[in-house]
Amino acid sequence: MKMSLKDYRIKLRNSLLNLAWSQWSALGVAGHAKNFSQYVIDVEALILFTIFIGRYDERLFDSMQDWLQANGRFVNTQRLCSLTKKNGFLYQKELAYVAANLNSFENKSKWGKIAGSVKFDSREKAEPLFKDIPLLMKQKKDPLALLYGLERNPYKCAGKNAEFEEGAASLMLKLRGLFGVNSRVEIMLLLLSEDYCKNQDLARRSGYSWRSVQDVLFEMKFGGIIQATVSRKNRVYSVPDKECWRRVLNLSDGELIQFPQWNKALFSLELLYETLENPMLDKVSNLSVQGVVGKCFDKIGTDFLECGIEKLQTASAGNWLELPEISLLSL
Amino acid sequence: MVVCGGSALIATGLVPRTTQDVDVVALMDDGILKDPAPFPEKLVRAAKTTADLLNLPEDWLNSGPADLFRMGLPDGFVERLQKKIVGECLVMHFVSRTDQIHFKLYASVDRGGYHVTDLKALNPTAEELFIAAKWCMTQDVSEGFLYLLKDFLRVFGFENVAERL
Repeated sequence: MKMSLKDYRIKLRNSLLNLAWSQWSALGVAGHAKNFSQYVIDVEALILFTIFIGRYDERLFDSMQDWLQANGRFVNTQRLCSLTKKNGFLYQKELAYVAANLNSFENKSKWGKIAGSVKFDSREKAEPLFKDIPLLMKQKKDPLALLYGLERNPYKCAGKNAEFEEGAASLMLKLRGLFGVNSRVEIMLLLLSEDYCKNQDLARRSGYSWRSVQDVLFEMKFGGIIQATVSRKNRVYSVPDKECWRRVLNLSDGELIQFPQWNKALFSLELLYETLENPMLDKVSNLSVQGVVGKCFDKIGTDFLECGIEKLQTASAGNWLELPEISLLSL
Repeated sequence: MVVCGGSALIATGLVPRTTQDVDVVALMDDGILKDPAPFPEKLVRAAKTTADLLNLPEDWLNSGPADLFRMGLPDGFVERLQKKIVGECLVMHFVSRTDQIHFKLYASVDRGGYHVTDLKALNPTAEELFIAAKWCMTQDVSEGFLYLLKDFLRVFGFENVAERL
């Protein structure tokens, strides 16, 4: 390992922050970031990723909160919860705090469940929400964050959001504007991005139950929106006239609809960063670090390979040092 | 226009990731600084056109930091500005690193949060922080602020500066 682990950690963190900023900028957050348009953004996966990486960048964390104040209606809280369970999301207190902020602002029943999912014992000591930002004893603290055992300066919504960018990046939100916040959106996105899909694939990739996907497919087929073809072993579904949909969705010529499994990619990156964040690793040999990284990739399993993001698919315990370059430059 | 905040941090290459709004601390007319609020009508119209063209939030150009101008800018502020001519009708002046340290120290004590991260990124010396702290004390003359300022400097790793105030 040519660079120190400390330097690598900073490099990886910066690349993850850039990735989050560029995705939020495409969704209308007023941020200075490279345009992001190649893939459809998964807003729930992005929220969870930002709750993790935003602890290193208060501007990013609060820009997400500002965006949610304006666009929370487009977020599927049921899917958000399902992704936290499926991926073993660690930052439940932080998520509950974000939901509580929204709960005081938007539809209470929508965010209330997440906001109420964490109870903080007031006898425990609150911990700083943001890394590397010292808080003074007498400085004002955010009262809502304190209820969740988190210390931070008071959050104030800046209200600086623009409209979603045109193009594939914001397609999930556009489709939610059309279909509402429900499983039809992810199912349609998958069908638009693939030639055909089986029910099981749609259920696995969308995060919804097999049964509910089947019901939606039946209704969509009945309405003539999709078609079903019966093969020997399976029934496969497809969208008959994709060009027509492309025109409706205002996509430019040649712009592909690619809806990768962002949750797999982002949670894997998160797991790698969390593993390397352990300060004990600074004191051990490169070989030991490599061993720990190897174990981390064992946990990640085939998630990078299956995520559908070409440049991340080859990420492995053998080339993890190149990851910051990949995430920074080309997603 | 004299710009501070995140845009100036980006323009001067000091902090890479900030929000897109442009905080105007003063307007410059014939070398003389003027209160930025309210903006002249033609500037308001130009900002609106730009927001529409580039899909920016409505108040992307704002005079939020006008109070800093009214309370008094640091000594030598004008001489340290970094000038950039944009076309025929616009001259931008970005606040220097020294003055960013002044503003970020004040904001760190007053509001904390990402201002502290920005201040760290500016990597100030003890002497720079001492001069900045003296200026901060002219912005808020209360005993309470002085207590917080000293406390912050200690936590920030500059106990020697805190003791000198």
